[in-house]
Amino acid sequence: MRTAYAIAEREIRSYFASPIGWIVLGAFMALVGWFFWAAIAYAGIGEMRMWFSNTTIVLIILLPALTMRLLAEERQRGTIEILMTSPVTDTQAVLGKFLGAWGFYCVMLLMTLQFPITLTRLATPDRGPFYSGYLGMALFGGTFIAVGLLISAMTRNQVVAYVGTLFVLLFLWLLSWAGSGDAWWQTLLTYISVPSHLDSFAKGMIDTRDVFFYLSFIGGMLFLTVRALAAWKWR
Amino acid sequence: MVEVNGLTKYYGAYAAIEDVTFRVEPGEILGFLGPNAAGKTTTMRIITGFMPPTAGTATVDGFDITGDSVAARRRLGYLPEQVPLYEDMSVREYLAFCARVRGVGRSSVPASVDRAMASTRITEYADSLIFKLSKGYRQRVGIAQALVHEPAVLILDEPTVGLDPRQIIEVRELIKGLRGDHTVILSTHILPEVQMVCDRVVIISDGTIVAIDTPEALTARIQQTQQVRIEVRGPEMPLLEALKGLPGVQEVSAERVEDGVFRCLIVSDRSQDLREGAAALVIQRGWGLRELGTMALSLEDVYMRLTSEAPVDEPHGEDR
Repeated sequence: MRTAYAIAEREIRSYFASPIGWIVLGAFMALVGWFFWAAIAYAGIGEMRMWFSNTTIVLIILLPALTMRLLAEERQRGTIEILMTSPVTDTQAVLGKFLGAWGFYCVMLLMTLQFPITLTRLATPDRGPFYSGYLGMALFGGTFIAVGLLISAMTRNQVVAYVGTLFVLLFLWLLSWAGSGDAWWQTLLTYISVPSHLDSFAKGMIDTRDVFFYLSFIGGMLFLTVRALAAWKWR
Repeated sequence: MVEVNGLTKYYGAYAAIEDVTFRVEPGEILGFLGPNAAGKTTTMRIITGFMPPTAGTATVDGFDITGDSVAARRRLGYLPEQVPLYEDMSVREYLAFCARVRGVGRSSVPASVDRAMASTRITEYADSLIFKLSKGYRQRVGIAQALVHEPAVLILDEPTVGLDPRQIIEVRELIKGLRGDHTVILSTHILPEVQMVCDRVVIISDGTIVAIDTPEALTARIQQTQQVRIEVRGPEMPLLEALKGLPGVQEVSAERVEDGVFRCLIVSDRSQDLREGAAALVIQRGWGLRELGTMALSLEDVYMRLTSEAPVDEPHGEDR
């Protein structure tokens, strides 16, 4: 775990040292800030549920920019040769990369805490959905980052990694639309749709089934990433 | 310290290396020599655990690189040919990161980093961002990262490529200084580097090992004849006739250096050392002896002979 933590720490520092980290952070704050203030100013909405939903769209566009470099850049620059000849297991490397990107994403989320704090100053909203909503957003972002990490492990081209991740995330998002109905396959599509599990968190509920879904989804993606890394070394 | 047995790697149907076997003793510097695409980097990448072999085994300090990979890699320091570095970090940050992922305790990291920077003479650039460094200093950072956790075995792939002459000498001195404390495998195509730095040489060609020995023994093994060069002031024809009369002489040739002075090359059986006989002959005849020496095959000649079909007819080598 100490090794994974060292890798994660390097990743977070690297985001802050590179333009891409600041661009993603700046674009994220501009877009979600606009969603927040527009909801108050134009619709008079004094709660965060709509904001959480809108933020998922922003994450579909921005999170692939965070994940595209994770392993693709290492392969492109050859730095993976130094990393993988160190006493680091594939699992530690993948976990470190994931925690690094997820850590930076959590920093992005922390910067949005100003919105619920502002709401509590302006009115007296129920704080429960704030806490559960942020937990849901942390888990939700984790699934997107895990997908991006897997795709980044499958190519050495960062543009391919970005476009591939964007496509898969859009697909996962659209599944919730296709799954609106009572047929068994629609229920299945709704279940595997990542955003649909965020609803209960946004409403103020922490459903262990949703927590389990997100954690198992992340675990599955990380497992596949470890396998992809091992398969690449065998080629 | 490092044992490689029957290492084979196929990329599809193409065999990059086949049945590569050698051993490196503790504290030894082993030169790994071969033309481009001979299989040097593939062998190094397998020994460092970067890629698995198709067949065969490699052990580092007794730990199998595939079966007990993490333990084996903990004992390794590796400098790849391209020296890939995280350019957005400072030298100190980068080395600290390398130390941490290689198991150096958090409290020992600063001392390990300082030691690695001091031994590669990059301390004054400790807080510089890596992307601002010149190629020579980046190479030093690459060597420092390989040394930072004080590994028992160092694997250096072309460590002096792209450096200026002064930097090359410094890096060679640094590598020589590692003898005894570290076991070093040095991949290079620079033949003088091998002669200057290495205890033994492995020559690889087309994915198979063609020779393993000390540079001197390799030269002796390949050299079939002895060649003596002698420069004499005297008459050309009598000189040639007299030299041809020495025991075991196969061939004598002469070239004119200046008026009345000839440089002769005497080829004889390897067992015959003609130097004393030739010198006595020239003095006995009253001719002037200006220069005398043997012509040895250089490692370059040996390398060319072992890695190509074309025979090397004549030594280019140095006088001894």
